[in-house]
Amino acid sequence: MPHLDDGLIHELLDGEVPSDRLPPIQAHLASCAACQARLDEERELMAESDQLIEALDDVSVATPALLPDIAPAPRRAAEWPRQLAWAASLALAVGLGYTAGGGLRAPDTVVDGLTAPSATTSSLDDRSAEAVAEEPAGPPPVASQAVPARERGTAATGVAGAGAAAPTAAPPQAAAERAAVAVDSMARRERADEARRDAALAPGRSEPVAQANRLAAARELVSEQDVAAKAALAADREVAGVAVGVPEGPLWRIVGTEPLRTEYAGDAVRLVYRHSLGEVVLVQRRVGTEMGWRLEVPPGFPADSLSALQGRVR
Amino acid sequence: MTDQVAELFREYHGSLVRMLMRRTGDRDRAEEIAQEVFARAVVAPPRNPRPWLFAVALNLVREEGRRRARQERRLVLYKAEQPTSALRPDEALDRGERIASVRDALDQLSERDRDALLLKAEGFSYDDIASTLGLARGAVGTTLSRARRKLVEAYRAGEGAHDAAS
Repeated sequence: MPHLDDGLIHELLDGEVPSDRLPPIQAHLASCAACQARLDEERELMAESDQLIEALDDVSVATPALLPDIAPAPRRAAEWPRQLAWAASLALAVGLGYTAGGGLRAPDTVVDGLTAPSATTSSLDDRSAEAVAEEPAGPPPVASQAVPARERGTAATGVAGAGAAAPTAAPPQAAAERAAVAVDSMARRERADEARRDAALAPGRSEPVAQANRLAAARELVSEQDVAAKAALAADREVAGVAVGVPEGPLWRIVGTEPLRTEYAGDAVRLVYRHSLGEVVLVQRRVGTEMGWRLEVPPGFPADSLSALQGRVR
Repeated sequence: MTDQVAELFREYHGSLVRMLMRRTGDRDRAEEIAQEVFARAVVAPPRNPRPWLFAVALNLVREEGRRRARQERRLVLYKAEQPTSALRPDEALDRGERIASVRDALDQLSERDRDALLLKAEGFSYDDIASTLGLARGAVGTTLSRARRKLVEAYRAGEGAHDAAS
């Protein structure tokens, strides 16, 4: 086998090399000190690159009050120590053995104790707005990637709001933020109205008037949703102030197997299990007085054994 | 339709805005572009939202970048928002300088390399990066390798120049 090129090394470190391609790579690395050294070098490079990207999220400097909805970074790869990433890449080769040895018996699709997954396998929708004209047209296989921490927080907020976790009395700061959001929304709505008027007065423009009107209405709708989402986030932060940290009471687990590691992301706890098809993550989060949970699985999991895995969450 | 928007927001808004903020360095712009992206998704709901939303967002960033380039120079974010920081002034300045240095380094990457790097930071798989950016799947590793190296080298070079000047 020739020396590993940079692309393959990064693919390897990112855990993206299929298990059936690993054996010759492993064999080469075992006998090639130069490639092993390159692997180590690139691993350090990746770590430094990740740190630089995350430095852009320095909320204490770069962001106003409402930023928590976009921090911290999800760090799917970054949370995975590079050494482990490499080890896990190799471990993929024995993943089937693990399954046969009493691990997760059957692959499942997303099982959700909190919110419904958005599982699709279709291609990009080419019927959409004009900005899509430049977008790639290839069929994108969807990965049910781990949802960034803040998204999980917002997703669970809806559940929390229905339960006992929604705060009844907001602190003044949160109220002020909501008021600021409302003002912001009014300004955006005015802009949407203005855009709609402009569109109506300029029928000769390339964008048809009907399309412009639909878009203007959609902008208004999205603006309202943005306000609602931020208000929910402000409330969620108040809940999170209580919920952050090690949860009280026992965690949910997948019986019959042990987690590879435990991660804490915001107010969520993630138990990561190894599976022959990738990582299965049992995400749990306090919802009211109980811990809600959901399962995240890699793309390509067959759906027929969904209930089997779900039934093993105890 | 409201339910659809709410679902899209719950699933993707945080990640999309974070990526856009990293990409643009401006939270207001990030929010505005995200809103526009979601509005378009409401008008023509995508069957596969995640790559669609991010692809449209990156296209809007590029369109807006070209427009803005003719109109004004972007303000450095940390300078504008520094007064809201709870940090000591010198500490905020240090961190602000680091952010500015990273952003300068990021700006030296090609658009494709930069976008691939930011999508990877959002947890995109190679398959998703390929479909979002219109790359061959086999090219993603090489793209990320080049992007990471370029980012680190550009940052180090910037820091070296900064140290020499001070």
